[in-house]
Amino acid sequence: MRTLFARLLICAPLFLLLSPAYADLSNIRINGFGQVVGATTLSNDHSEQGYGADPKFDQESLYALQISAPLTSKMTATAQLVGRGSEDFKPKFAWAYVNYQFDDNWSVKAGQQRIPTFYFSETLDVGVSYPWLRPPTAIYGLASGVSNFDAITVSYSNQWGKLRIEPQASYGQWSGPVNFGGNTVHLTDTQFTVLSMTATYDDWVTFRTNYLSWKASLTGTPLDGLVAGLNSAGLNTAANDLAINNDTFSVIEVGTEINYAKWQVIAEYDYARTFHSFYPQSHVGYIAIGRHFGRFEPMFTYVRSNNSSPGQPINDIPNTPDNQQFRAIVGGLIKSQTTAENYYMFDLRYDLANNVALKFSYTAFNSSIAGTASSNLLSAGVAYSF
Amino acid sequence: MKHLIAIALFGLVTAQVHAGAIVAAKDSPLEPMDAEQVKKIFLGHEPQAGGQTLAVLYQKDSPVRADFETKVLGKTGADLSGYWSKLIFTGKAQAPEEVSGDAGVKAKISGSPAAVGYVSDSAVDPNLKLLFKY
Repeated sequence: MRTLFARLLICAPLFLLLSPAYADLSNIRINGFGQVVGATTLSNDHSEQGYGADPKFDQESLYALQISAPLTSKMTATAQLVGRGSEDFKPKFAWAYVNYQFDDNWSVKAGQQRIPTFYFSETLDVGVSYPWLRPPTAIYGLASGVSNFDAITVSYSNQWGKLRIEPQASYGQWSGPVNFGGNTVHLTDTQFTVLSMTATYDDWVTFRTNYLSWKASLTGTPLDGLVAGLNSAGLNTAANDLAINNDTFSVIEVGTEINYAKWQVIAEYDYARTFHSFYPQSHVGYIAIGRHFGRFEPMFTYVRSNNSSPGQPINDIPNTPDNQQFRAIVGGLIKSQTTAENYYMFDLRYDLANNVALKFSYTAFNSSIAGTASSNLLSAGVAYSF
Repeated sequence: MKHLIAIALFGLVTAQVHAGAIVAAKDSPLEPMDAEQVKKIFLGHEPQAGGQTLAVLYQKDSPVRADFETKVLGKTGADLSGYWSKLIFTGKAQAPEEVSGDAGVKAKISGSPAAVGYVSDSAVDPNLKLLFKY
């Protein structure tokens, strides 16, 4: 799909040159955005989101350039290049697609796109589009690494009075490294299905629900030895319920955003799980409340995250004297996946101009699991668009 | 009393100065519309109308623009800018073209039946089709 798209992209300028109707360069839109973010933890003993006690400025800083060219009156080719500080600012395609607008209601997008897993997933890089310095990482870090896919997306949009309904369905695939429970694994041609429904009333209340599912296998980790051991002991069911072997990963999300008078309320809740694996099921949610004071918007966010590993693999191992060692190891692995975390975020956004925002953020993190360190993170940044 | 009348009259005059209109070319297939449709078009939710893909025109920063945003869109400044960045960078809508003042809108509209923009009331002339007044 990407090759086909790459060809289309190469052809786009030719179209422009050959067709007198589109020789007008004013039809090409160039827009961009970016941000510079620096952060540091306030304590020496614990790192948070990759930051330590020494301030770092490259991890979340980025720039992006988007070029959009109409191919016909209904078809548009768009490419968005993003250079990230974490990748030495090397530009990479984040989006590269052709959109066909059938009519006011239906459109189809084919090519590389962002996976719309969560409410802000598609605009996660566009700092000016949300009030925080960064949306809650407890949600946006789930399945981190998987952000793009080569997909076909069908969108519908219609409005009845002040109520607008926008269902969307995507099917696509992705290959690349992903952080999977602390291990980096390489996914090959992983198939993704995403279904979402957005309802907006009078442009001030938005409700969105989303379902994402993908199949993955995880090999090349210390888990392999345990799985092989279980299999050789004849405990195949336990091995199968522990290993991530072509297992379905799914995320169900509900989210809402309310902008009323000077108040802004945003909330998201996610349930994520992998069937037949040790990988924990997650319940993550937050509520954020902000208020505009002229060009300032302070916002408070409370985030709660609970992870627990299903107990099935241990139930699969008969409680016999021979199996005690397996039961202890598997039990330890399952227990290690259990977490309960709280985040308290204090954000302040100041609009220097309509398209430039200065942002400050303080996040305090604690875990209700005994022996786990608490931490805090102080960040500042500037985000812009043009 | 005289003062009150003077203030009231001044109020009327200012209100008139800041009134505006949604316009298209005289020969545009676009039909007069209501406030809801204007909002949809200028917030990127109605890419096509009158059988064609619309070219939506915004004015660069001006009192006419501020007035239009407050009275019709209900979103202004950084709020509106952030709103558009969501649509543009996810491919949900094309960025509107920004032109300078009433003259810029009129220049762009003449000869482009798909263009639609807002101008101050006093700029409406027989070469334009009036679609909505605010």
